[in-house]
Amino acid sequence: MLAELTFSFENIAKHNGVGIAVTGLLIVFTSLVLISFAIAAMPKVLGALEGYLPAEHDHHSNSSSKPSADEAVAVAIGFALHSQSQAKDKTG
Amino acid sequence: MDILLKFLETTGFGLMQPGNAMMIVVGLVFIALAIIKDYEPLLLLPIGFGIVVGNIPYLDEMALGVYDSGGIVVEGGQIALEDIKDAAEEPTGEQQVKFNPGSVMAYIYFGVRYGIFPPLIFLGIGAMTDFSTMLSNPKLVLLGAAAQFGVFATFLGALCLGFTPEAAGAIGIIGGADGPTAIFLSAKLAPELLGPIAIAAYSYMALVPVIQPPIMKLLTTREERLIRMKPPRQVSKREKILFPIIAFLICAMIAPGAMVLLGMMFFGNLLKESGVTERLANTARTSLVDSVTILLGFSVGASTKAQNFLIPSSLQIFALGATAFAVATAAGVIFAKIMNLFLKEKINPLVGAAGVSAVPDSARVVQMVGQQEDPHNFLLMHAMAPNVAGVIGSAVAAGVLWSVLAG
Repeated sequence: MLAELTFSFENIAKHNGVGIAVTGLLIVFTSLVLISFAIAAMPKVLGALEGYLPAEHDHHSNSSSKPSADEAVAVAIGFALHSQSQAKDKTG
Repeated sequence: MDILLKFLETTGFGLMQPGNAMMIVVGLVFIALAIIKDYEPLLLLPIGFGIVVGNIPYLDEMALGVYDSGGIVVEGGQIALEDIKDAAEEPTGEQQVKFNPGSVMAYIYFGVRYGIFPPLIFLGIGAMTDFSTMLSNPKLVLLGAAAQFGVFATFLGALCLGFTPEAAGAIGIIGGADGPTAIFLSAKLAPELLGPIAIAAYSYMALVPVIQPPIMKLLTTREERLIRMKPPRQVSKREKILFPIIAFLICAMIAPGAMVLLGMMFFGNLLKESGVTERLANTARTSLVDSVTILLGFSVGASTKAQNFLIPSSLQIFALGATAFAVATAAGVIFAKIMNLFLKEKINPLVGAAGVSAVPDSARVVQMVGQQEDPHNFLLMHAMAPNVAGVIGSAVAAGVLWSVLAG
């Protein structure tokens, strides 16, 4: 499977490398552009269908709207560090 | 005395070759990097130990390595037969085909060789990924696409060096900076290069904090690095539930080759976001992904036997891998700068480097480089958007290369 390894741009033309590369990149970009459009359209579509969709609610999941104790501690630590760095900036 | 001498010849000391010794040292270096420097320990430690195990020499007849997969025994060009014995170990007069069961390492490597482990890892990745930042700013998805330029540029570079198209495709996917994707595509297109490609991919992923910052600083001005971006908007639960379904349908219909990896990833994400399968999501992102990571890392490391790994093409693969990461980083940053020509709300171009889908390391690198200029500029959450988009992009790229180059 490994051909003799030599450096040559002709190998690209021989195996239609540019065609494969350009096509591949176009397909990747097309997929992600379509995903990007779908994401951008989702809030508007969901907004239009608001009256027909069931209300959002949590299903006994751990990811509730109330922050867990760990999240609250992390927020407190982050706030303390931020306040400390702001105080340092003021005093120079 | 003869027996003792014969035994000594069969020991690892007697059979050691310089290549095996060199690879054992490489494995020990990986272990040291994992433990001492904390470089991607969850990957480098299993891989490093696997390298050590895979390079202990043994007699061929003992069939202990990942490549000793066993099968029907052939002797003198003919299928070998053996007597069938009864419970008392007496021959019954009948014969059966002689079968060598192969080594345990080969059974573990089965999951790598046949592309089973990578989709299972993607299931876990999906169950632990939060796509909120991507959903809140969809234009950053394009930076994940731009970084895949590294894949195809490396593909062309590998073709230049004389690799076959299949091998070039497998090498190019290193630029996707996604270990499971690289292993999956190598197993399909160029299984004989799986060892060096996997080692290159995981090594460079661990070196992202070293490779990316100089390129990011070279391609951006200080003013650009100081750009602050608007905080991401809140994303509704419905959007998070619909996204994996819609995204999978789009990607799979365009590139069916990506169906396996992206199907598992979006399935895992739906398990997480649906809110009704928390147990399954928890298993996927903890015990399942950890178990598969152990087996995959160890067996990939064990596959780097010196006789298969220390070949000239391995060095070229390592060089191409470094190029892949550099080009992908540069492409993401440059594309962000191009997008800024058309946008009112500018993107910090550093965020483009996070399109290299080494999640979450490249996003952390963006945060670090940004904070070197402005300690109060928090780019991490913005960088996570192209980071996770890059995972999707690299899986689509792998699917395209597989579809075009297979067969």
